[in-house]
Amino acid sequence: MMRNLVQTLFSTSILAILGLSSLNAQPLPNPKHSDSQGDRFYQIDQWLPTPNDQRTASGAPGPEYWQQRADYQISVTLDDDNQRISAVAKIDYHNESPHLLNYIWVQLDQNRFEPDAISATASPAPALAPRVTFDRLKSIFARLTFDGGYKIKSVKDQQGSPLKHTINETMMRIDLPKPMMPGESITFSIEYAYNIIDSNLISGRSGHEFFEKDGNYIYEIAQWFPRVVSYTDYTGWQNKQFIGRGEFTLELGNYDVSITVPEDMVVASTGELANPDQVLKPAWIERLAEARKSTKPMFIVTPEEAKENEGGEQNESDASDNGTGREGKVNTKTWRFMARNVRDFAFAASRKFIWDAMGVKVGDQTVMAMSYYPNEGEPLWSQYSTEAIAHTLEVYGRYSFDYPYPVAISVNGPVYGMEYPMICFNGPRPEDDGTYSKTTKYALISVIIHEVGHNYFPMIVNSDERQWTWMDEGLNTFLQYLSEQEWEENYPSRRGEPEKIVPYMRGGNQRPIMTGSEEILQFGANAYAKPATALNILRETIMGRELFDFAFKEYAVRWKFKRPTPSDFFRTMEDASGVDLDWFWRGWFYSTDHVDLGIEDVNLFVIDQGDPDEAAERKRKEREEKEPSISDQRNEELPKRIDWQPGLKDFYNSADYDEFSVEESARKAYQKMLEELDDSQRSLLQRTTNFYVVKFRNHGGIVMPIIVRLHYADNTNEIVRVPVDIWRSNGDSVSKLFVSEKEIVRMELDPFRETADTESSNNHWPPKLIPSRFKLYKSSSSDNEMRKANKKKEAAEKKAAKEAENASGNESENKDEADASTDTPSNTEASEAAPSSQSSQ
Amino acid sequence: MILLITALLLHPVHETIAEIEWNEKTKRFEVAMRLDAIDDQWIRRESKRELPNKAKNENSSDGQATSSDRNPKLLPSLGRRQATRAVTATRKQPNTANGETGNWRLQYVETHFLVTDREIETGEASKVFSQPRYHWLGIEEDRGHVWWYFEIEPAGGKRPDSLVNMMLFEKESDQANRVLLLGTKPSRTFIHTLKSPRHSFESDSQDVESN
Repeated sequence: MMRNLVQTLFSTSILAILGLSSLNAQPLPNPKHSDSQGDRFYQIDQWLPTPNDQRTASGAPGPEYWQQRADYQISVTLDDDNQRISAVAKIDYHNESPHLLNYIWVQLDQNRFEPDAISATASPAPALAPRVTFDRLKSIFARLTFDGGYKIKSVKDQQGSPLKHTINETMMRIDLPKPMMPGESITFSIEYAYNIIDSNLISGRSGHEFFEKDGNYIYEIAQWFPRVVSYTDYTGWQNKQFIGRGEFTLELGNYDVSITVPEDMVVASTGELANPDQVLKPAWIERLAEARKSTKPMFIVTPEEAKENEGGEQNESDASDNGTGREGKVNTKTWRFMARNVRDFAFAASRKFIWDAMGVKVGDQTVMAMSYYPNEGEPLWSQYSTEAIAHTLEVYGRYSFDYPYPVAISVNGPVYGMEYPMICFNGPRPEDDGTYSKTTKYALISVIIHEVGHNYFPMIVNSDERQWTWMDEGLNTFLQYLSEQEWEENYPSRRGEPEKIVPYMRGGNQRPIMTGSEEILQFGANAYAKPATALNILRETIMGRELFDFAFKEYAVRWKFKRPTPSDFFRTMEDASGVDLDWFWRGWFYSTDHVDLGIEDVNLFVIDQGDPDEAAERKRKEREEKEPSISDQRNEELPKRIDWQPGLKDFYNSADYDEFSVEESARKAYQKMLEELDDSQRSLLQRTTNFYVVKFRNHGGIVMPIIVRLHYADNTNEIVRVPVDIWRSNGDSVSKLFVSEKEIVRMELDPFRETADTESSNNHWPPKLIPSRFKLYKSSSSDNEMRKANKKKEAAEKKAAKEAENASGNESENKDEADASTDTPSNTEASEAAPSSQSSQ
Repeated sequence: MILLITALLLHPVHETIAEIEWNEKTKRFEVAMRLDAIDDQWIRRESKRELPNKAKNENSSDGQATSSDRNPKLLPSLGRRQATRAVTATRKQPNTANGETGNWRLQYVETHFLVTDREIETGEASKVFSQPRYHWLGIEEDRGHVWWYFEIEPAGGKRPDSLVNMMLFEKESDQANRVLLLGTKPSRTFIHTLKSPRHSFESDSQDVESN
């Protein structure tokens, strides 16, 4: 037998804001169920592509999986006088698909810097109000006048005959003289040139930076050669123009690149240097060998040497030292780099570079972690850059696979943060005087971790950035967060912790994570932070670290050097963990719902033993403890008729009548009932267990596990984790039973802030008013320092005045009473107490 | 007519998120705004570069920094690179008397986070500058982010009908500033971009109501 001791201990009004999600999982609406958004656990298979022999239902590449391949042999010259690139690129394209190809598309990314490029003409107006600076004006005019874009000199086949080609904005179609059969390869070459953008004036993923004081440049060169467009099983030719946001979808291949630069420049590049004896000084070669075995970064080119090199003077002895065999002074050097199995190629060159390096043991190989930066980057860069690279390789490797390349490089230059195979460009620098803020320090470490991390996603797990930004940015930001947490305690990670995403998710005006790159509304929050947070929640709260880490690693290994799609990721995570996650992908990736679970109602039930004497006493006590009504209170003094007309009193007014008295028959009935019970039933009846039925409401739309901390009357507490499956029968509202021998005095939802719950005001029972962030801050810091100091001063002055007053008062008392005690502690205490009591008021 | 071509975005990692609520009692907007710590630093640097004479103390008698008169300010110069490197700093960074007070932040929001009560084109934004008073409360560090807290007191206690949010537009051409309007049911969210820097507090077809 149960009774509801207190019908409702707490109840809130239901807001009933039950907007439909943008995506309805079920094929048909279901008016016969109260779920506002349908079944949250409905499987999302119908949204995913049908599995096939290229991409299986388990999320793994299928037996017929294919991807194209492109190998490059490029000779490029960097013109330092004119900031220009000229090159001849020979491309071997391999048709690994089962399809016949009549043409090949090639990306001409530099064309976005043409004045009439879509990226320019489709851009909104910049802010010109209330004023505009000279720098801004220069930038606007630069963009108008800059002669950007590829100047294609020729497109030829292997025999040297011209190939017909058509340029469409940032893409060029090369028509093949005859169709290319499956399994066939074709070689063609493109001779071209382009002007390198001035990063001071035009923002881009590559460019040059000029240093006025020494007259030198740092060049960061990327998207510098015509790259074959991806031809995939799910899109055919990737046909989205390069507008700016959506990045690159590229084929893997081998590169053999010869880079000709001024002789006194140092070059950092994708790949391994194939001719060190021709371009490196003997001292550098020696230092590199030593650095390979070192556990700390070592200078290959020291700050002093870099400073000296800025002068640009050719040193006769240097020319003979490098053993080139060249006669006399040479003006250029050609650095040859070879890279295997990469999807892109970038390099940097400067006279200003300091160069440091350290060997990092990764599996069976030693990876050279190297940093290149000017003296303007010191002391920040030599302290942190190469260590951050090494840290990234170590941590990312644990969660995915061993870094497969021979080098990992970080370069400081005009590009703030951009990734390429084996090399990335990063921005932060200290102040002129060499000092730096905490913000700058952590910005540097974070951006290096992030950009080096991109080697894993998407350079090796080669997802389609043009279409799905989150597949590399989100996954990489997630691993970046894990790496940062292993750098030092309380690392100021901007992304990853669930509570960090709350300000974004609690508002409207969003698009789902599963949105094409060019249509995303708030890039950073949508494609970086939200997916990273979702993965963190999956790891910490939904799956647990062991299951998640295994599944995530399985995904990375399965798709290493291949091209996964979102469905491959979703399927693999479920396949490798044994956890049904469709509800999670649905809520976090396909919808713009948010997490907002609230405690709506708490009911307490206890076992009613049925003992009539106990029941009577209880009712008597309830009556006695009940507050009299307002009328009863006011009527208490009113004269009552039966008081002055005693004849009106009868049995029911007499002391013999007890409305709570228990009949003997009731007692006998109770005894009889007890005798009919067995021992276990009798024992159950004796229990004083509390049964709390708590009603939870899902205000935000996303179902999540219910994590609640129960606080007991004896000052203990416990965490109860209710699996998400509790929402299966109703995604809007659910009741959960908590059984306890102890009295629960307080409940708190999501105490560790692990679900990104956007509204904490409904997370408490008894209800707790949670003010807005602003009001919280204002109330906690109502006084500024000056006011506090003034108040302190005033309080001290008042105290002194009071003491003086009391002292003069005591003197006059002492004059009146010859033997009066001079014990003034009480007075002193009073005078001391007064200011504090006054101030507390 | 100037052909306006904006620089393309690299990796758009910097955004602002703000919560704004009208306090009927105080007749002020209460604003809590979250910025990336890097952007906070950038604004500080730019304010020192462009406004070397802002050491003048504009504190009110109650000790809080306020701005009593609107002075149109130069927008800080463009170029993310100028924030992250000090290479071209041939001129000295002036020291402000206030050091790390909120003054330069206050000055920044005065010209970049505006409440108006009439239709404006951004070119005419300076017309509304003479109206509201800004009251600075303080900042709070939040692991890689910084929260700014301030109030906007419109003249005459009348709640304006629009918000213009141009935070960091001069730094990132693709900047998107998100503002959650509290105190309405349901709460509303604006996204301020170069294309759409202004939003009305009244119901607007551009806005989507949040859950």
